[in-house]
Amino acid sequence: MVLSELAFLPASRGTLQLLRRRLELVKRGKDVLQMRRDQLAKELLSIMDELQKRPKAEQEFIQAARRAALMRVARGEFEFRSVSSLVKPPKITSIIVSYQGIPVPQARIVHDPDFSQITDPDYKETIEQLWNAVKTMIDVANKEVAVEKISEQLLYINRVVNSLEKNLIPALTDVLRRIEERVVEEELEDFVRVKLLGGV
Amino acid sequence: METYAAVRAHGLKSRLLSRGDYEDILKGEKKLSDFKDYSSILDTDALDAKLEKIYRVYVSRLETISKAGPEISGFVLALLDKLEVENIKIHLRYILGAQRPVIYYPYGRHLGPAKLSTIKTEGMLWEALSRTVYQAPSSPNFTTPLESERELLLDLLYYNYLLRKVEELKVSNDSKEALQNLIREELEKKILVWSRVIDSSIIFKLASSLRFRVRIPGIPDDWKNLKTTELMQNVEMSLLKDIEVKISLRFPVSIGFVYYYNALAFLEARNLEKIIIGKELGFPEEVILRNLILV
Repeated sequence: MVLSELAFLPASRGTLQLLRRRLELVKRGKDVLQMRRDQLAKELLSIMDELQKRPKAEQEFIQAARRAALMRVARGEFEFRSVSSLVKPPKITSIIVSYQGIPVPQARIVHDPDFSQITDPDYKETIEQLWNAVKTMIDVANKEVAVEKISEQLLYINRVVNSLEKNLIPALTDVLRRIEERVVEEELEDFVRVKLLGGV
Repeated sequence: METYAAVRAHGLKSRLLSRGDYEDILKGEKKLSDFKDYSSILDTDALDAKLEKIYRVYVSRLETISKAGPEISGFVLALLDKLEVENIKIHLRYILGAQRPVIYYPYGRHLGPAKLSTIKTEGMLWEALSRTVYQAPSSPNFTTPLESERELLLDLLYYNYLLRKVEELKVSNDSKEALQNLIREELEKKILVWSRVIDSSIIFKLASSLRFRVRIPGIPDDWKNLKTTELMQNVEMSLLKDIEVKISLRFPVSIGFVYYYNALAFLEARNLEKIIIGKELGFPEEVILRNLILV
């Protein structure tokens, strides 16, 4: 039912009952949405806590990348490139994970890179450090996507709740009151008319 | 002929970059192209092109000496063949790894980069190597699936080949013996680095399969806690000092001086490679300088 249509509703007991049921439903819907909003906000806060490790993860990544760059300088480009070629790359896929019912795309590591062929302790340490930093960054990125998707949903629910609170519920209450008054007036008129006819 | 080659090496040595030159390049006071030998290197060149040109200079320097005479050319080119062995290692890593693009040194005599790039399997590589001067077994019996074991075999094969070339030299017994001892010492120091990377039983097994008598030298106390990269740098530095003391000063006009010059010229190429990469990656001057080996 469009809000503007409410103005043209016939004033009758049937309409009154219909509107009361609708108002009840809208209020219940609003409560449910508010509960959902609280639930999502709680989830968001818990993820936000985990996101606090982002600066540390970035720092670790920068350190690992710098160490790899230093190895590149110390060992030379020819060796560095070919030794890096010995590392078999990791497999990372994208899956959809449900966060409180919200579908969120997430990167999942199917298997780690294989650096079993790297026997030089310096290269091994550098590559392991770099991969661990990348893994943490992937984790942080996953959480960030989750925050983004949950926030979008939260904003949408907020808009709906606001719309219900500020528009639909006041409009329905208003129409309900107006129709109630009309129905009472009409009943009073009918009563007076019956009384008058009875007096005749 | 030996004296002539040594004199040419002395002449070429005077054109090698000094510590001050490296510092000037790092500070940006001089460009690499300001030096005559490297005048073809442009700022606009891509990283790979710059590196290729640097190693081309090294190759051309050694080729110049190899033209001094047929008696010594085999040995000089054998020194240069080190680059070819490095290329083979690079290709081996490519075959056994994830096959990401690699770059090769611009040199090849028996198994050049063009030929290497047509070899797709390890079996084909050993087969091809068995037909070269390195005399590799056509199907080597390795203990582990590790690529490093294969690299170690390549190193052993190379030193075996180099020592054969020294044996063939028609030079005085004294300088030949000094050179052989130094090459053996170089191999031992390489083995010392290898012992950090691979189990020593594998080293001995591979060496004995080539009838090589190797020993893992005792590691000096101040080297014990070094990382592999630092150890390699120290080994390289101590080798250069040894060559200088045992050969270049004792036999200044012998083939040994060519060997010394080769070590210096290769070191220059390696140092310039480090400078170019370091600058490309935006490292400060002192960090790059710390990674250079300066004599």
